[in-house]
Amino acid sequence: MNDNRLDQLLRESLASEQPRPECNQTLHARMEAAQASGKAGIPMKHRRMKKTLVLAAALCAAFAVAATAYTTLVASSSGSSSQYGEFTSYSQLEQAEKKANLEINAIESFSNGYTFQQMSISHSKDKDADGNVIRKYKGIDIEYTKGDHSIFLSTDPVSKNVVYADDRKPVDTAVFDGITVSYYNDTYKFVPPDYELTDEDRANEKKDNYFISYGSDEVEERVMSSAYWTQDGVKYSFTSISGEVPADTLFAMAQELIAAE
Amino acid sequence: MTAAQLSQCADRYGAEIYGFCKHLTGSTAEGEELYQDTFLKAMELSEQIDAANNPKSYLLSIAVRLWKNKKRKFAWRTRIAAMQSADAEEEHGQPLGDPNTLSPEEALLDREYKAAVARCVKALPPSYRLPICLYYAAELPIREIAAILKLPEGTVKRRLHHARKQIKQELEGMGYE
Repeated sequence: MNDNRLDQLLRESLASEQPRPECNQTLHARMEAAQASGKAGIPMKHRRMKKTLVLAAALCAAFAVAATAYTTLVASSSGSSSQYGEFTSYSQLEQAEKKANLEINAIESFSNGYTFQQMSISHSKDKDADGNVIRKYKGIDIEYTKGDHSIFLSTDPVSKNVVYADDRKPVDTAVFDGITVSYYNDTYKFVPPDYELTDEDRANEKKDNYFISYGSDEVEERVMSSAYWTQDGVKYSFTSISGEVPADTLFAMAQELIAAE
Repeated sequence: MTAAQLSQCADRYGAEIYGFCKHLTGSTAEGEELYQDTFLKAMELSEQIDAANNPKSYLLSIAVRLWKNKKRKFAWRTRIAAMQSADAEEEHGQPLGDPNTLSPEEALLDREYKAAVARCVKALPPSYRLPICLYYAAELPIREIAAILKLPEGTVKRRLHHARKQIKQELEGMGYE
């Protein structure tokens, strides 16, 4: 048997073939069921914030990108939150802590004017690169507002069994009471699904802090600022999704929260 | 990528992905299971899939990972039903050959040839079977196979070469020319 004959046999024998119609019907039914049950991979932040911010879906997808960007072993975090505004009074913090089984540092208002707006419990899953769930946990999310602008505080328990390796260099860092706070400034370009990347887009994509997210109706670029730190087994993050917030602002808020112990 | 876009991917790339799953597992039932699981897993990972950047390759990489994870489960099933499965595939598989151009004898021979090739592929070790199925069933270029398997292109080429050689020896050993 010569090589050409073998190659031809392999091509014919392993040629692609349509699955049986029943198989495709079952697949579509399972996909619809998964979507209806909310098992489909809608990023955690999407579900958590969609009621409050009414942002484009593409914008929310950006958070998943951010999650993967900051981690390696834990490739993504996703899940759902309790209904938005489950807790509307800061006095309910203890109640929320009991429900989440998590004690956090929080304050009702910051000296720069950002004030407690609402609070909810998040139910999250960490997944590895293969999509396997490696951890489930609850956290507490608090929205602070000042005028029309919101800054979100997310708190989640840290596990010794998973690694969140920060593989990106923060734009800036500050240390308060021995705790390092890392500040990131990321740009997200939201584009329609059929958008074709320009040379400039491709050059930007190579940057650590530039992400292109498909799925929006229009092309839109947004800068998001965030600050991360870990204190007493809890991972804290401040995130502004609607415009850049200077590092000094988030550092000052982090410092107040760290001192609020 | 949205659920609707994924559904479109199933229509557009279903044949290649299903063909890959079927030949990788060596069974219609397990191929269908892997094929469906691939798209369901893709739904969970949908935020990582870029509709504009070769979703077929990404879906195949999910199938490869799922198959590796489930390999042990498949192994005992395959052992239990090895003979039965091979016979059943020949009985219920897609029609082989073109009945309009082949005589009954030629069609039978063609069918036997292809069934023998499928058995040889199924008998390959995973390190050879994966590139062979990605190359012939999923019709991927070497570069994309290398990316999915996280191997250098040269290694993929070598494995394809050795896999072909092994299949050829098997077929010749069975008397096929």
